[in-house]
Amino acid sequence: MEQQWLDTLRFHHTGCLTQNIEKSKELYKNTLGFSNLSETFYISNQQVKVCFVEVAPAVFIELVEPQAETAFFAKILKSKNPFYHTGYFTGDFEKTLLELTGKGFYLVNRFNSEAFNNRLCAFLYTPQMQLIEIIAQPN
Amino acid sequence: MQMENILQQLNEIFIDVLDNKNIVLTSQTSAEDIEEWDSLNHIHLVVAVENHFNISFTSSEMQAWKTVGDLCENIQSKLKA
Repeated sequence: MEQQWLDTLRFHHTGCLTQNIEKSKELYKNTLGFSNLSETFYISNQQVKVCFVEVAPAVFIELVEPQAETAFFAKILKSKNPFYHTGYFTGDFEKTLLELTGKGFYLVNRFNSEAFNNRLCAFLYTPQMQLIEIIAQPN
Repeated sequence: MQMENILQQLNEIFIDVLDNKNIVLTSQTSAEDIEEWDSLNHIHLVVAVENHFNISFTSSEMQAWKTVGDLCENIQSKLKA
């Protein structure tokens, strides 16, 4: 049962970069018809505003508007593909982090997120350089 | 491999990964000196360096780098090993 830890991961969202979160919220709500939107949070550590749009039961698109100019976000916006990470809840944050880094994932940063009641989050690159986020699951 | 040679190769990697042809590295250069060198691009740099020199770094090694000089020394020690 080597991979039992994978059972603790649950898909939560896909992160989507936007230059104007209010316009994106309007599009998802009024044009696409997704009425369940979270409030807009400012995540200080990441210097971004985010809002979650529920597009299926417990499945979200995280709209992300940068509040500071960074080379990383500039590169994504230039690439014309704004979907740039996937987020997962984990029941055991520290264990998952240890398992993933032990399997060649690169830890980018860890922080407490205002979007998740200040619970722990971490961004990691997979060995194939795909960006993922893990989020401590609520009790 | 001489430190100067490693630094020169690193300079080319940084220019390519950070897409900034004006980068001129010295052993004292740190992330604060290069606007594009943020935490996310840092990982892209690490992977590019690992692939270029055919080496791999541990998490603790990566966390210990404060300057490009530290990175050069780390690379040199791995190439000697």
